[in-house]
Amino acid sequence: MTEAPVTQEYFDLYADSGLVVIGMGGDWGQPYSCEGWVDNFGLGYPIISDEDTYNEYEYGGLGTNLFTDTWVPYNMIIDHTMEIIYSSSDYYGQEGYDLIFDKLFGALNKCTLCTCSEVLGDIDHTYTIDNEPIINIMDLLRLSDLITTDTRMNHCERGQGDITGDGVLNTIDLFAFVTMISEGAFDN
Amino acid sequence: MKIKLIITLFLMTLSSAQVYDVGDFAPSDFGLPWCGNNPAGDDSLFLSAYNGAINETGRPYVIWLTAFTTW
Repeated sequence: MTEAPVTQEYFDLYADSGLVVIGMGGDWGQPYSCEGWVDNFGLGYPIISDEDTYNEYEYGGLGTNLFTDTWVPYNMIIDHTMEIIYSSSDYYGQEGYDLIFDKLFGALNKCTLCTCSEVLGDIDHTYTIDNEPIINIMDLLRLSDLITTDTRMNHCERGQGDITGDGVLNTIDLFAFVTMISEGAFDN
Repeated sequence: MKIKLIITLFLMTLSSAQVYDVGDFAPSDFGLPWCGNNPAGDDSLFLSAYNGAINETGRPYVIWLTAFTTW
């Protein structure tokens, strides 16, 4: 119950930065209903009801059983690629919240790097003082690293690195990128 | 015999079922009934709604999913 005001505080502060808090509640009526919970704590983020119980696993429903193996409150951070980057029950007071916030800030800051510029080949997101993308050998090296090391790419890199436009990132994109750079296809 | 085998396999499947953990990708089809702060008016909220989406300021979403009870 003590976590509700904290989650709202951070939602207020970081919603513009991409944070969305989703409350997954259950065992309503002790004492709050879903609407009562929202009203009592002045919450502005979505609340979903996890009482569509598909089995008899103590309490909770599908969400509790999918994501938690212990007690509530339980917190998860899911980054912009839908990867779960934090999952833990947090009964550890401020220390536990500090850990959540570290993960949260890391994910939000990482997202500043993947704001899509919608410029083909703009892999490393370097810009001139006039805010024009610089596309050069460094972008090529970055794309090469991403492809050859099979590093998970974000959705922007997938789009900006797909030079051939075939929906697949592979060495053909690298060859195409080399050709375009060597022929001066990029106006910089 | 076949029935015993099927039951055994079923129980083994249940015993090996695990929760989604760090490093896993959240199931895109996961959704639950929306009960509070529902501006869209949809019946359920699915995590897939945030996959690849951006907010009003052009930023990709990071989800803080917090499970709770009211007691």
